[in-house]
Amino acid sequence: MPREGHAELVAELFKSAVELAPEHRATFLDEQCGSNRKLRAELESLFRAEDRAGQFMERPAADVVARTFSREGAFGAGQVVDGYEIVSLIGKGGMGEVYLAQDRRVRRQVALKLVRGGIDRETMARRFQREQELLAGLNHPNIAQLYDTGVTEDGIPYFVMEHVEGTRLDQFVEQRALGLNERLVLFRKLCAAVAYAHQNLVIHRDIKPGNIRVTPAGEPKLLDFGIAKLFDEMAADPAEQTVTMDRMLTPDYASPEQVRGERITTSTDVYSLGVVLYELLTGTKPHRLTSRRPEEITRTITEQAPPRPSSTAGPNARSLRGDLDNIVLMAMRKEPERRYRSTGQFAEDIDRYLEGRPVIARKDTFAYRAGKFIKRNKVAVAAAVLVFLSLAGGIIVASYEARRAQRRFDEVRRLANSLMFEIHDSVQDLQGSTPTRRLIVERALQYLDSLSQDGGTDSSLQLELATAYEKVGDIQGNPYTANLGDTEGALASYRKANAIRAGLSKGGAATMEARLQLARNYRAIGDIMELKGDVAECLKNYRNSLAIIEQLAALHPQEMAVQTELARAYETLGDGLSRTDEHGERLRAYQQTVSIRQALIQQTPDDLRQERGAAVAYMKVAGVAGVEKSEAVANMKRAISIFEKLTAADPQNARARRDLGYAHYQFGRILAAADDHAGALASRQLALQFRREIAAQDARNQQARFDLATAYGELAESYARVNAPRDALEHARQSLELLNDLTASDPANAVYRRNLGLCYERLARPLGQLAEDEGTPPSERLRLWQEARGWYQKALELFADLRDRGALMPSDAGQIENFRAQVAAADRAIAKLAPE
Amino acid sequence: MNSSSSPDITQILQDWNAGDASAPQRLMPLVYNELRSLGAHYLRRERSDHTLQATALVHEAYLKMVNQKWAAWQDRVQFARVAARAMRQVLVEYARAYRAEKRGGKLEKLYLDETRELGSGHDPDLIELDEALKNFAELYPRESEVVEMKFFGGLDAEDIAKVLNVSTKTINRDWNFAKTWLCRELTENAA
Repeated sequence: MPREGHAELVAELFKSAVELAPEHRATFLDEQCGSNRKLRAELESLFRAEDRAGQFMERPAADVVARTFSREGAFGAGQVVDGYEIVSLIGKGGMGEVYLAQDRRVRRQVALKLVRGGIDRETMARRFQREQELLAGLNHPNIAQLYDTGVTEDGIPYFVMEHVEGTRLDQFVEQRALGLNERLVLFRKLCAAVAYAHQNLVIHRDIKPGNIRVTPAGEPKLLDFGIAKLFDEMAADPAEQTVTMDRMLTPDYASPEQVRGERITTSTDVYSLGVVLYELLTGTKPHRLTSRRPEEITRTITEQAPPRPSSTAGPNARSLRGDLDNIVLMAMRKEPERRYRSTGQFAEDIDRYLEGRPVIARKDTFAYRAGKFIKRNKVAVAAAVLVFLSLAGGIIVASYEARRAQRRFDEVRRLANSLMFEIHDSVQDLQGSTPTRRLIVERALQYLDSLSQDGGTDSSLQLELATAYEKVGDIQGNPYTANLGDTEGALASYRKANAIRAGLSKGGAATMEARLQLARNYRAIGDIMELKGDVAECLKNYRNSLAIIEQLAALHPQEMAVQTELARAYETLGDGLSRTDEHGERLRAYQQTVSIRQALIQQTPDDLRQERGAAVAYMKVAGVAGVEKSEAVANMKRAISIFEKLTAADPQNARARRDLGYAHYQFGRILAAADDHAGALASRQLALQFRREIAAQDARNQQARFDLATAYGELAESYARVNAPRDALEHARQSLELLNDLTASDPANAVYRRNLGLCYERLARPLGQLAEDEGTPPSERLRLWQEARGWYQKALELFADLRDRGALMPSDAGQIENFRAQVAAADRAIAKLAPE
Repeated sequence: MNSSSSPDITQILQDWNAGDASAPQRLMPLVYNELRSLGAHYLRRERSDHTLQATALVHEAYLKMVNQKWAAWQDRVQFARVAARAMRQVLVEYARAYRAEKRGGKLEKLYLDETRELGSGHDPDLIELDEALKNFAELYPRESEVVEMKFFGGLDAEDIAKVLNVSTKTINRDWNFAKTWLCRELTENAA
């Protein structure tokens, strides 16, 4: 027996929760029920019932009684209609009656459906005759067979169908308490039945749980196949409009093209199946159709995106995240051409999910539309984002009333998350979007911060806040993505996130995901330290990160996400070690990465991200000092061929092109180190081509400009090596111009400064070569040597400065001596040429 | 059938107002009988357009039973409360009679176009509902009385709010909760 306190609590929480939007209920339940499972289960069952309740009991009891007394069918038991003997009335509604009848000719029980349409006999008979031929041809175990159609003496059309003894689909799954997979298997059978009908040129047009019965043996049967078409044809006659109106009274399963009265295709059934699946998985309908006004209903169905299945309050919500979300929403897309191409394809995706293979459905939400739109007009997008942000600000100001506090809190939080994920992610891969991204994410951060100060202490909000700080940090200065070059700002943001995450991870209660995030955060801080040239601090952070992930990987050996992170952690440590002399440890770290990645590719051969990871690892093995030249070249070739494949797969993806550019660049370095200068020159020319292209697309992307500067610089070096000093000089000057700009915008960046120093040398060397060239007139030689000496001197000073600030990489330790020697050599040459 | 004389009813209402706890029990059978005979009359007469309005019935019963000269507004409120309960009994009884008449045959829910049913009113089985409402009343007495007055008595939220002396908003929330709870109870036990 429920205790009184429990009952009170149920009523109270239910009454508060119904005022929330459905997608907020899960959070509400998390917060209010805590570990009280009984309470949660009871509330969830009420939410499910609320959807069904709708008009339940809204007609007064007295009226119900009156109607009950008036329920009489057109036929009485024992009456015979065209050879069908009526057994009993089994259903009645606005459009007609359903009788259980006995077919006297073949002695079987059938369902006889009488349709009150009031159309003239001949027209009806003609249409029925035509359709019947198609429909009667459908012969499938999961489709209720249509046996006959006809018109009674009074001119009322009827269908005779297989009588299915079964339970409505939605009631069946509830009663049997079917699990997620069982529901999917059941649904899969429906898809097959619909696919069969489509192959036979019949579209159902009215798929909904009420038209699906499940036999006691668990076989689903689709009823009324193709019949909706006859109704619609009747409705084409203005006098028969009511028929369609009736049928559309609850258009929960109707597709956008249906409610707009547009052409119906097989895709319409795909949509309705999507809605049925949505309801099967979540226990709720995707749209809350509260209004009965046709224009409201049309608007909701054609414009409103349904909440993701995983965001509903159903018991399975968590398991729906990802693939099932994507599958359902792909079937339910507004545009028919963007849904599954066929019911068969839909069914196959369910199979893939059930077999644990990657599904073809992809997340849609905002990204697709935004992407499509943004490509068309960047300025308009920036303007739209601004309008959106100012509206969002309005929500905060406008709803300060205490009564609305919780609602406002949820709205703002949802908004912030939508900004951070959907909106930010939708523009992330687009070139030229960096400043817009900063604006978006900073605004999200402000919102979350204000919520946090308003007393939002729950840990999920804190985690969102940490994520926002990290995203801001990424945009400020994550060297591995398009960024604004603000290293100090990025470090501060990452550290704020770190403080939150480390706090939440204390005590070991943190989830796997939370600990992974902490590990990623350490890595991001390490990345910044590397940029600043603080090798010790960089390695410390990388090792912290690796240690957390190694623990997790031992706990979750089958978890792909963790194994992927482990591969990355080793790789990152290897990268950090590049600033030291620990070549052995570095090589081992990269080899670990390669072997983990290879194992992952075996598991998911279609996952392009794993392929990319493997390519990067090959490249890095190749780049470790002391690796055999032949091994290095073989590894590089493997890497380049993977990158070429990825670029071909998605030519618009800036990152893939950047990868390929980098691989050519890296190959150039390896060949140069092996003294294959002609080979290096060719690779570096390719590298430059890629990087020019990328930098041109987004003038504010510091990373792209830095990559371009490096490409010019290294190509200059190769030209110098093959004794082409004029080409070398020209490319070095290009590099210098870019590096000067970069250093001015971010003076704390030791990597920029180091490369600036190297660039000075790249200018000096060809000047020296030109000075020594036989074709150079003697009068020119002195000027050339003087200019060369000037650059060597600047390089010397710059590296000495880095050393004094503790930002000199150990591998650069010899550079100061080298430049000093070069200055001395220039001095000697000048001394020889200078007139006494 | 109408054995109750008007002064009796008025007297009982006045006793009730004076704090007599036995008043509602004494009033109930009188109101019930009146409503039952009125209801039968209406059902016969209005069979063609199938309307039967609880409020009209209650109002008519009230006019017939209560001496207007003696009655105060308070009486009307109390009467409505009792009348709703009486209406519940009357209507459930009709439903039972109908079921018996159909020899136990039960109309299956439609599947040709159950959209209509869902759209224009999901009518519960009154007998099952009556049972469920008894369970509900043990946990939620106030909400159950709201159901009685609204669904059976035909009162609107504003009137119920006056009777129970709470806000209309509270009544609406109570109603929504009760309706959901009962819908769950009936659809889950439908197997």
